[in-house]
Amino acid sequence: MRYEVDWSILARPELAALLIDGVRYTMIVAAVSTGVSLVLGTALAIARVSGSGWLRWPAELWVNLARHIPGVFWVLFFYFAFPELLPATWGSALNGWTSFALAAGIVALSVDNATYVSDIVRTGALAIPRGEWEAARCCGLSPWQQWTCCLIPVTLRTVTPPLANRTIHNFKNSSLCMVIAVPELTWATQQIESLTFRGIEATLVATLFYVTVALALGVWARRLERGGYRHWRGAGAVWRRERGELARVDSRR
Amino acid sequence: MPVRRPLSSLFALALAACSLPAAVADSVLDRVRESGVVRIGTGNDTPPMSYIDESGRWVGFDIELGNALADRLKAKVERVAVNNKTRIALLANGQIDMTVSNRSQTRSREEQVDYASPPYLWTAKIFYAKQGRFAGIGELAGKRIGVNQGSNAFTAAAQEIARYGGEAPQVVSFQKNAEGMTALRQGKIDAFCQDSPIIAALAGDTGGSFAAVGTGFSPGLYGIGVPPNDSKWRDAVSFALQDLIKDGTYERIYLAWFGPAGRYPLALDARPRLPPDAFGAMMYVWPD
Amino acid sequence: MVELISVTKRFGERTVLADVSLAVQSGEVAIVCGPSGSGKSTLLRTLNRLETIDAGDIRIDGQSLYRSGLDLRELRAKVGLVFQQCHLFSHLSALANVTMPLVKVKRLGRGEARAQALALFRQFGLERRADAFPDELSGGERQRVAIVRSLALRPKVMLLDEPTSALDWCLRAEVVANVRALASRGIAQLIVTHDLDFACAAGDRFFLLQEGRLREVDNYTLACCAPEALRGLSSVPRGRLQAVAA
Repeated sequence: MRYEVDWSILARPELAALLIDGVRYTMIVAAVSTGVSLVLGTALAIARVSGSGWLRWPAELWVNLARHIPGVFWVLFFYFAFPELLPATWGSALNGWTSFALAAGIVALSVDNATYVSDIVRTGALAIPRGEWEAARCCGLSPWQQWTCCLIPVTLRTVTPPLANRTIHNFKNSSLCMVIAVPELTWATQQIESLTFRGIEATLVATLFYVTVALALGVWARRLERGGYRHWRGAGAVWRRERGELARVDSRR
Repeated sequence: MPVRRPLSSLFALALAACSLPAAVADSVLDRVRESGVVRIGTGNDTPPMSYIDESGRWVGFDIELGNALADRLKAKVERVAVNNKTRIALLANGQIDMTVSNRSQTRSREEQVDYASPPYLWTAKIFYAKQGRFAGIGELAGKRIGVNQGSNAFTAAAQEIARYGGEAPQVVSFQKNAEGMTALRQGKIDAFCQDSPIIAALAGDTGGSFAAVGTGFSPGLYGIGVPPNDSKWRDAVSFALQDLIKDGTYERIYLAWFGPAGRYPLALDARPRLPPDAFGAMMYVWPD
Repeated sequence: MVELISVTKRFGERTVLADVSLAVQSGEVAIVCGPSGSGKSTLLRTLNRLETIDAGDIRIDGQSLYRSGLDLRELRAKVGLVFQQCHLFSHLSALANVTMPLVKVKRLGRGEARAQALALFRQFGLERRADAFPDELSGGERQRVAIVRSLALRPKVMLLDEPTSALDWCLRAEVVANVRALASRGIAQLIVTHDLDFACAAGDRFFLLQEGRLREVDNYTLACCAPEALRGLSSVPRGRLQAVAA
């Protein structure tokens, strides 16, 4: 016999609600963990290229260790094991927290993704000409200002394409949170399958969603890369796009 | 079965890749007779029904029952690991010949696949929580209830709690029973809801600090699933099962697992039996 | 005023600066010539401690760069360094290249920083290019922006590394004018260059750096003898140098 597709199940309100909630959770997990991992990964990258051994070695050690650990391990670790490592009162407070699964998933993906972000940012920072580092020092900027005002903005521009790839990857990794019962999109498709024994319909719709968002992220990253955010002024990270500027960049190619 | 609908070409293409060219013209019985192999779908993480023990062997009530059935059918077992979510689809697609995997008969499942007769075990859903924390099921309103994804406890637990009124519970579905129990022990959920025999095994690990809340609810019967629309095969499996009941094999397996001296003694007799005052508590099999 | 007192700098086995002494007064322009690899750039970099020295001392306004409690950031604001390649911040507009350090280092308000930067842009003829980005500026403009970036921090000393190397010959006069403008503000300047015409036009005092040793020469000597030295064919024979000097 063949599998006969029945799209009408997705119109059932309780099942559609599962999918919509799934999209919501997927977006929350992906967005927050990407944001946190960008900050964390950049901090790790700075530590790794910094002159201080006290910063560099722990960061190198951590990244080289964490790089070889599967994402799903972090998810299970932060959900099941982490509260046990804390003092009993803190542990049970975490366990009693209704949103703990969501938080554990976000922390796990942040830690997982930060490792890769740090590799990408580090490569970009090392690609900045030595002269530009020295120019920053020669202006009398403090190390912190050198990073926030010069090196990070310049680096992030050069590493936009690999960072965008990584972000898409992290977005898809949000599905790992299903193993700790976060009702995200993949979990929702499994739930629909277990309620209706019809998994293909919901899975196809979910796949379409993942593909669409990933494509949109890719297009957005390409536009950034093409010069849409050359006007990143100082640490305020203000992106300003000017049509004239874009048109000029476009006409050059 | 649902009505076939016109599909857009994209999905038709995608589905062509997904659906299997099953087209079983003959009965599964013919194929099993010919090859001497029967493909049985069982779970691997659900003590006491079907699991893999410390030494790596498949054990459990369902495993032994499946082996005995295969013996009866004069076929060798090819074991296919299934979980609560895949067992129906694999059966409906014809990738396995039967499921013996703690599956209650439900209406929605009956729409997809068929069941051999008779069903072989009584179960009830049980809420399992810290001893003494909840006096009754009504107190579970608004609490976090863990279930195994794919178990019909997802629906049944919420319905049962709703009968007592109060706030709807937050149902949390885990991928494995063991994960749900860990979550219960750590306080991530307030109660775990599963079938009574499975709870009996899980309770064995917790050393008495956990207990059932209230009584069992949503009674169900475990049945052996077979592919839909193949009555020849379904009858063969039913006959084999009834033979096991008649010759005492079923009784032996039951006592070994759930009898008073078994591995996981059940408080209530889980054998589906006829009323004792009328028939002397015998199990029902089809007369010749 | 800048003083180098018996400065020695080594990179591993190689001695780049050997017992170098030099003093440049406020408003004075000192030119250092020498073949490639003679340590000219290193000399400049020791003056704002991008490189540390192995022996000797460096003083600015009588205060040692190696005294304890030295504020490196303050020092670097006081000693402006203009690189050969300028190294403007590529993500900032020309104006923002100047205002950013003013805001961050001198703690000026944005409006105040902008006003000061624009005033300097006007003096250096850059006011129309304020919103351009570094990759849109010409070589000369880029260099002027780099000079203004350092100048805005009100340095006592300016160090220019090969200021004419990236420019075509007609812009050389512009650089000379810029150097003289800085001198008239009372800034001590130390300029490293290969370009003898430029050196003679812009400098007050002249030095040759060969094999780590620095010696002062007059402009005539520089013009006559240095070309050989700069080509790196040989070091200038002592006898000939004395003969010319006599």
